[in-house]
Amino acid sequence: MSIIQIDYIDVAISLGLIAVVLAISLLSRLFLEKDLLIGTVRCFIQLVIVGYILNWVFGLEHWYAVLAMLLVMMLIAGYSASRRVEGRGEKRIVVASFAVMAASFSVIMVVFSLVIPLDPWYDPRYVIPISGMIINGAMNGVSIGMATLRTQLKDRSDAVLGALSLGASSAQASAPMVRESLKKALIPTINGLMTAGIVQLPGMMTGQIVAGVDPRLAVLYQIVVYYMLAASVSLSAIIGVKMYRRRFFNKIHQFSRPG
Amino acid sequence: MSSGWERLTFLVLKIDYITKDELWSNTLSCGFGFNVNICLIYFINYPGVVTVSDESLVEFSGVVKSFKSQQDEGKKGVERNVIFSELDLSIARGKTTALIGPSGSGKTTLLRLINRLESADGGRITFAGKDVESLEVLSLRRLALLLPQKPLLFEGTVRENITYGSRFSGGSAKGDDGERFGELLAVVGLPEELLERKGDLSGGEEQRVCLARALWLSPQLLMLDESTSYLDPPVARKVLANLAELQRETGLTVIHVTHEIPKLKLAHRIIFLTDGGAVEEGDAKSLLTNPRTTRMRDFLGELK
Repeated sequence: MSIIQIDYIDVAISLGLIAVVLAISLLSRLFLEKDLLIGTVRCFIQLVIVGYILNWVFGLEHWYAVLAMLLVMMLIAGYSASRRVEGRGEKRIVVASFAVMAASFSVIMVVFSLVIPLDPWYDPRYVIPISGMIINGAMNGVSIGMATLRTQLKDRSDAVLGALSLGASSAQASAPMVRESLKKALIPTINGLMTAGIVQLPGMMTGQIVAGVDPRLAVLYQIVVYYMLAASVSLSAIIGVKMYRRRFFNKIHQFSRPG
Repeated sequence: MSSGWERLTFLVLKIDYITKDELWSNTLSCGFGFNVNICLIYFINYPGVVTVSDESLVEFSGVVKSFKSQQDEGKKGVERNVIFSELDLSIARGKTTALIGPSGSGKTTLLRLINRLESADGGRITFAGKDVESLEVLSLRRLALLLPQKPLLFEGTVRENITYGSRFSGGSAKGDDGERFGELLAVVGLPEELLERKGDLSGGEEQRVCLARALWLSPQLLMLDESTSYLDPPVARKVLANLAELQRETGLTVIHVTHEIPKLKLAHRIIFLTDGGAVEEGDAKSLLTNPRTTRMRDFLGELK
């Protein structure tokens, strides 16, 4: 099992592919050149740094280094998720970070204690990339869920006030909007489950196959990944949305419409 | 009349599960066929109590309310938009009070202060003699029912919409449903065939379903915020006449925000609200023909 080595020169050659995008943007007057350039450079710098960090963490062989890394990943994910939700105030950041942490931590625990036995238990080669996927799923779930809740409560404020006026509690009055937000957060994941392997060959499976792993084993890993993603997306969405809902109501069931 | 109340209270206490404070809601529900035994005693002994009452159901004293102005939101220490600087008024029990005033004068805010969708910054609001802050807010909202102008139907059939409020109080649909639906549909003037319809209603039909939904909860106070505005004039006249009939039977108190002169004429009293909470209130007939302030005269002039 050997992997073909590539170096920075090969990467430089692959930049030619970006040149194609650049040409299309210029010819079709899409004015995406600036963003494309920034994106290309950021992608390069971020991934190279991550490569070095991972290499360093793998070399440390300390459980606390791995845990610290996971914590940083979760906090960054929580912050990025909250950035995608409109509005002011720290509440969004706190809610999103808490939801990402609670959801991904539970799923990570289940995966590594029951599904993939590790030796040592914190083996960074497994823990970090797989947790990364879980955290990413949690981030997407909570950001879509919270952003949808906000627009739903804004657009359907009449329905909220109407239900409150009939004596509904704030939870009852906002239940349809909460449901809609959870649905929206979960649909991409469910669609992914439906089309897995047909429309796209998932990244992790591709990677393992390229690295020489038996495709049948790679598939088993990928199935686990899909299931754990579904769990982390839905857990983070439900935690985040239910906590965020409280921000728009007070104890005496008064509603403040998001502006 | 006071001795009447005492004797009534005595009878009611004998029945044991009803307190004096719940009395109004119970006499109300008898209009729909509930608690007939209590009502019989009530009507035989004191037929005048329900309809002839000078008491006020809602009282505002020194109520202050302001909002953060929209563009300044988020900044601290900015000036607030004062709606009521010190509002005093009372809503007569068992009567229809029309609430009028230019837009921005706080009509909707006033209604929301009563059912506590908003809280006052100062002063005191009482409902049936009790500070609204001391009442359980969700039951208060069922007793003081606010009906917005824009009709809002929830998912489901018209029948499910009419009983929608029951699901919030935890109460299931009641035993004599059929009769109840019949009476409510008659009040709002909708045919029974409509009960199973899902969506596809006209604006006027929707408003009437919303009115039936509000009445289904047997409120003591019905607050109509231009809630009959989508009805054709003859239909509106009929619905309001039915409502007045219901009011005579049950002692329902109505606050009606409207700017249509024919609807104003149906009210017993009128409260004219201007910026800052200055108020002119009085008997509807005399105020309409003889407004005391020039502001109100000008305002009424613009309506005609």
